[in-house]
Amino acid sequence: MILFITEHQDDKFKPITAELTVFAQRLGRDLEQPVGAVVLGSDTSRLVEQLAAWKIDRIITVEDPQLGDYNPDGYVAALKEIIAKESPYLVLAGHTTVGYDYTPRLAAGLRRPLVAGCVDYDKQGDLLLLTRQVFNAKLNMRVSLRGEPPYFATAAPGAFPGDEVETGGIPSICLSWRSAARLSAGRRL
Amino acid sequence: MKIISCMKPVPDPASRLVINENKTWIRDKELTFVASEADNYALEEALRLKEKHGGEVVVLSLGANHAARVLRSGLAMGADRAIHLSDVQFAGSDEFATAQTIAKAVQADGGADLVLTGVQSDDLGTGTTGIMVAEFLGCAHATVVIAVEANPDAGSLRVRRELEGGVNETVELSTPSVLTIQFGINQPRYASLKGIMAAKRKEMKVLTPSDLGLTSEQVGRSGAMYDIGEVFLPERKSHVEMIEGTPVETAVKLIEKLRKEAKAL
Repeated sequence: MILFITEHQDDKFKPITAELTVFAQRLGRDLEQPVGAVVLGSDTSRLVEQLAAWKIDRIITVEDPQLGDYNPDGYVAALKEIIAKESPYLVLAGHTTVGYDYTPRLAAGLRRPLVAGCVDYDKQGDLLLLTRQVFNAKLNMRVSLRGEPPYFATAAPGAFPGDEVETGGIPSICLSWRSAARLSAGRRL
Repeated sequence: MKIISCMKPVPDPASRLVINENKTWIRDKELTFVASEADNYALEEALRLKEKHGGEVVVLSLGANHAARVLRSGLAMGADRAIHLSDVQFAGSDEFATAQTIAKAVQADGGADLVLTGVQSDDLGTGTTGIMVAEFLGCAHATVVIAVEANPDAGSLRVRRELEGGVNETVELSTPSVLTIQFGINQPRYASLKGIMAAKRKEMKVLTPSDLGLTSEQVGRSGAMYDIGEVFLPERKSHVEMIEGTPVETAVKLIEKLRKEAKAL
């Protein structure tokens, strides 16, 4: 599965979410993998309604009062559990002040590759190649990933056209809850 | 407070970048290396925190001679001593291998209250290494930091983060923590002549993978999580397009293009 992590504020998705959806849909088509979306928050019902119109195979939500506002410990704990259950091939997040705040912890903690700030991808046989910018966008670098999945990537804002989201499809919605106590192990005060 | 400030050697931003023969990186043998710009803001913040609360500032860098030169510049700015992670096995390190090595070096030096890095480097520019260091150290982190207020007695920090769209957030962290420092948080000082002279007498400890308890498989290219396939010039997409019509029509078309094509709005 190609799993992407949505970003939202005030019950609305931020523009990066549509861009991640397009990135995931294209990868899903080319790699013949289902596409899953993750919504983390205190109440995700309105967000799930919006996502359900898009062509996504699976929507996974974690609702917890402590996920109402972004915090890295809560996100990493919730996503580790989802990844263990869903075994995705690739996990996508935005290269935003939220996305690049937690993905390095998540990837390093699981000892898996993270390619940050992707702008494009290629497929050579079964090999996935991800392209990112280096030297302040003066050059591009194409990389291949080592080891077993899950792999992690963040998408540079504006790299994928958010207005080309494919609609239709009937997602299976998987709701899961965590107790507040289990998320409170964070070291932020 | 003990603060370890990380400095990454990168090609001088004024350098002309030429892709190497194998297309795996740039030709960097003849280039001049300097500290990545954001790392100077991190070091300045470390020095200011020391001036306010006392303690020690240690600069740390990974790499060959370039790193030693960058560390000397950090010592000249006012850092107390330096740790140079230098060994041929460190070559080809990615963010993961670098972070693991830095975390081991921090631990080998007896830990620190704060580890600072620049928000991102001028070469790879992923902004991820500092956060991975926090994960390996098992401590808290905050990214894109634009203000730091420390309370060493309470072992806590209050930091302001810069988010998108001009929004900031304040978070409280316990020490030890890793902070990635945003450009422009302060005005980095220039090294004085006295500072440059003093830097020559300051301690620079050289550490290798075995000093850190790391095997050759865990560092450098062997310890990396991805392989560089190719470095290439981005496709140039610039072109000129004339929009015709009445002023209202052209304005509408222009706004549409700025939104949908340029994504500037």
